[in-house]
Amino acid sequence: MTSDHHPLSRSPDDQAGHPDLDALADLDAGLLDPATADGLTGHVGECPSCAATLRAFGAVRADLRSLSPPQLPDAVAARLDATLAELRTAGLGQEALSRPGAYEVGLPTSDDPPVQAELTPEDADSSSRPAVACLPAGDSRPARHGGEDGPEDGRPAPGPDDGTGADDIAAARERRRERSRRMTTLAAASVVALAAFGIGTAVLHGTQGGSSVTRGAMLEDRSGSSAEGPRSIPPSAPTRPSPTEIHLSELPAPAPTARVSKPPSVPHYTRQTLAADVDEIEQQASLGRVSAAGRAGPGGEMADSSRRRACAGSIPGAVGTLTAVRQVVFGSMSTPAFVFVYRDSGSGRRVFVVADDCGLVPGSAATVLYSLPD
Amino acid sequence: MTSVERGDADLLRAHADGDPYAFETLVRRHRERMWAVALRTLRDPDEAADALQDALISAYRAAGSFRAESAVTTWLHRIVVNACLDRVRRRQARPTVMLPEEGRGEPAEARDRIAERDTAMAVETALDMLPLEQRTAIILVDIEGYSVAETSALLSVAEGTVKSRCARGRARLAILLGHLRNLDLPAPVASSSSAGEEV
Repeated sequence: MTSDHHPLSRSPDDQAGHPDLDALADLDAGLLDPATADGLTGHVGECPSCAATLRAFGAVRADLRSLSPPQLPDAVAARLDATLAELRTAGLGQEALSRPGAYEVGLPTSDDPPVQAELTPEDADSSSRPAVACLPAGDSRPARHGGEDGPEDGRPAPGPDDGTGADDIAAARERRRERSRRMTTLAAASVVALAAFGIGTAVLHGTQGGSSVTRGAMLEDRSGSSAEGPRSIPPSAPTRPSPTEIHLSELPAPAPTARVSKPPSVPHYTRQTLAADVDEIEQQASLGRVSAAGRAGPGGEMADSSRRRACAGSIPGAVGTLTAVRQVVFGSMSTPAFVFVYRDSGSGRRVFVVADDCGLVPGSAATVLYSLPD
Repeated sequence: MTSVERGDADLLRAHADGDPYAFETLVRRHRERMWAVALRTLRDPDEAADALQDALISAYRAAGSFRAESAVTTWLHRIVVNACLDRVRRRQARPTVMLPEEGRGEPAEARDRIAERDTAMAVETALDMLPLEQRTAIILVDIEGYSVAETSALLSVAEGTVKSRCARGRARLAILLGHLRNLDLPAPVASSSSAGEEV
């Protein structure tokens, strides 16, 4: 500090009586008690330097007010539209949303706890995990609500405790279809096959529900921390997994499984295994990789660059850098498709499956997030 | 009445009651402003896009328990801001921009460089140099026009904290933007806090 006559150079108790910059800023912000404010105001009235400093704060506010809002980029708008469409088509049952207390989330009330900077134990723990969640991305499915993504056969909508998100439902349906196909190919008698199918379906429901509760609870914690600040959810409070989030550590082994008829070297994926195996896909079908087998070249597994660009351009919500293209069999599709992997930020990858005609496969798009190491 | 004509609270209620398009209508109405808050808070378009997506999903899920004790826009912005702050917390190891503190006073080079730029660019650049908590308060109060009380509720901090953060931030901006350049600036006023340390 120096002893000249500018507020920046003096402490609040400067012997010359000049307030420092922070004190003047506090005065400007109305932060001071009346007595202190009156004293400083009196000084400012007699001190051109301090008066100029106060005017500078007004100029700052004017500068800030003059800022035009940044335009929402088209790519971001498209991505948000895709997210909204996915929420609408694969989202929660509205009866759950309308149920008071269905979600104990932080809302703008005065008694909410202050936002904390510390990582929650869940956050800290998750930092050591390579991947934590799979969120929906673009989806070309037609807009609808409560359609086939909801429970089948008139069963009640999943309750908050059953943890049966839409992804889980879709996955269960997918597995049921595949299980059914496999069953029909068996040489067993139809009665035996039907009985086995029924038992299998029941087991599938039970298994799926149990694992989903765990996934949902973990994600509910993360999501809550993310959007509304830390808060406690009473043990008895119902928790609902996001319909669009999948905890990858809870997913089954990510190795692709051969479930449908396909060329022997083309792996099969469902949405779950696709998200879980994105590292493998990027490694095996990187755009810059030339595999020993010669299948993955500079264009991944879609070597035709013009076709690759055309497909990439047809994917709604695809932003960032295309890192890999892999030929796969997806879900119940009978013809091979292609997985496009994008890195759109340092915190996640976006995965899309396109059909042979470059059309986005409904229900295939996802964002795979992972925590950055601290 | 079409959804376009409905108010924000009506749209949110309709969404909770099962209207499949109400939430999209609500978001489209406000997403430009939500984007502005996210981008200015995080300073990175990719991060801002991710945060906005997180916020939309959270808002979609939380709509059923919205208690209408504040404006829907305030509620939405709170979710956006918290999504942004959470992303900052999760990448705390990432290097942050700090106000230069070496030497005495603001480096003349920095002030001159900023002064040469377009005013808006200079303001945005200077905003980027503020610590996160100061920047967020100033974005909400001085740019978005929220009152101190609203910002206090939005950030879940005391009103005095909002005022203090705004005061500290404006003091820094006054220097960075050259509004005090004609005055002798013998000493820095930067606090020891750095971007992202305090929320």
